[in-house]
Amino acid sequence: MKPIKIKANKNLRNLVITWNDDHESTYSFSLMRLGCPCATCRGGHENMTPEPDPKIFDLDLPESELTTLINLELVGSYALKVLWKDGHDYGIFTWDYLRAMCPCEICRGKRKKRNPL
Amino acid sequence: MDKKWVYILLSLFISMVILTIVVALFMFLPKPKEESSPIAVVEVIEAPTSTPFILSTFEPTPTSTSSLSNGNSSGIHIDGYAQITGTSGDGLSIRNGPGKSFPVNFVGLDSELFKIIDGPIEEDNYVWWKVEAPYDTTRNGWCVQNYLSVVNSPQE
Repeated sequence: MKPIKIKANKNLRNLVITWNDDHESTYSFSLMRLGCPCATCRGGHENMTPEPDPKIFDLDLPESELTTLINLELVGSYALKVLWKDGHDYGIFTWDYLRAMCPCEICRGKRKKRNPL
Repeated sequence: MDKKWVYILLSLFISMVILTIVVALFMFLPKPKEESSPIAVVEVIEAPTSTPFILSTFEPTPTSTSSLSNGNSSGIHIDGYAQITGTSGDGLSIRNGPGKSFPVNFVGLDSELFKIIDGPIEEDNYVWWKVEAPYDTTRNGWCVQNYLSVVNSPQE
């Protein structure tokens, strides 16, 4: 699964990814920060998993430097790096991870079926 | 030399030649091109900076709780324009409805210009107006009058 278009809108404070299967994922900046896959944010390398923590979908961070996106950068052709206003830029979001983080009801429903707990 | 050995050596030689040719073919034949993966187009839409509209003369007045009408003493009226002012950089919460209990859609910045599209409504001891950004109608919501100041419409 690969994105064909990535659009970050600082007005709407969201990131929209159009995938090559025509699916569209809309991530709030809050969700992107909550789902940051870096070891620091995940609480250590032992907590690094290929899918985001399901708890992030129930949380919401207020608008602050933590959730203010400054820039996006492609990492090769496999991932996306986000630079936040507080200077954090360690998170490398692979396409698989981002797709697993899609908050739409269809994707969340599929994840719940796969992992009922 | 026994004729049998000649045949064996000959077959070994032929086998070696065939093997060498096959290996050479694998090494030097052009490999099929891997499907190039298109890299996604990345676009970052910047947030608005302060608007170029000039603030008209405006004296903030205490909110009146008794004279709510379409066009009150503050000068704010539907289809008019107002600018966020006096938040000391904290910004003004633009909510989903007229009241503090409604969720915040976004935070408007000082000097940001909005068009008044509904109101006024009195709730939680504040007067609320529904505002909408002229450049992006999805950027709308309700905010208190206390931090709005009237500006001339762009046509004036």
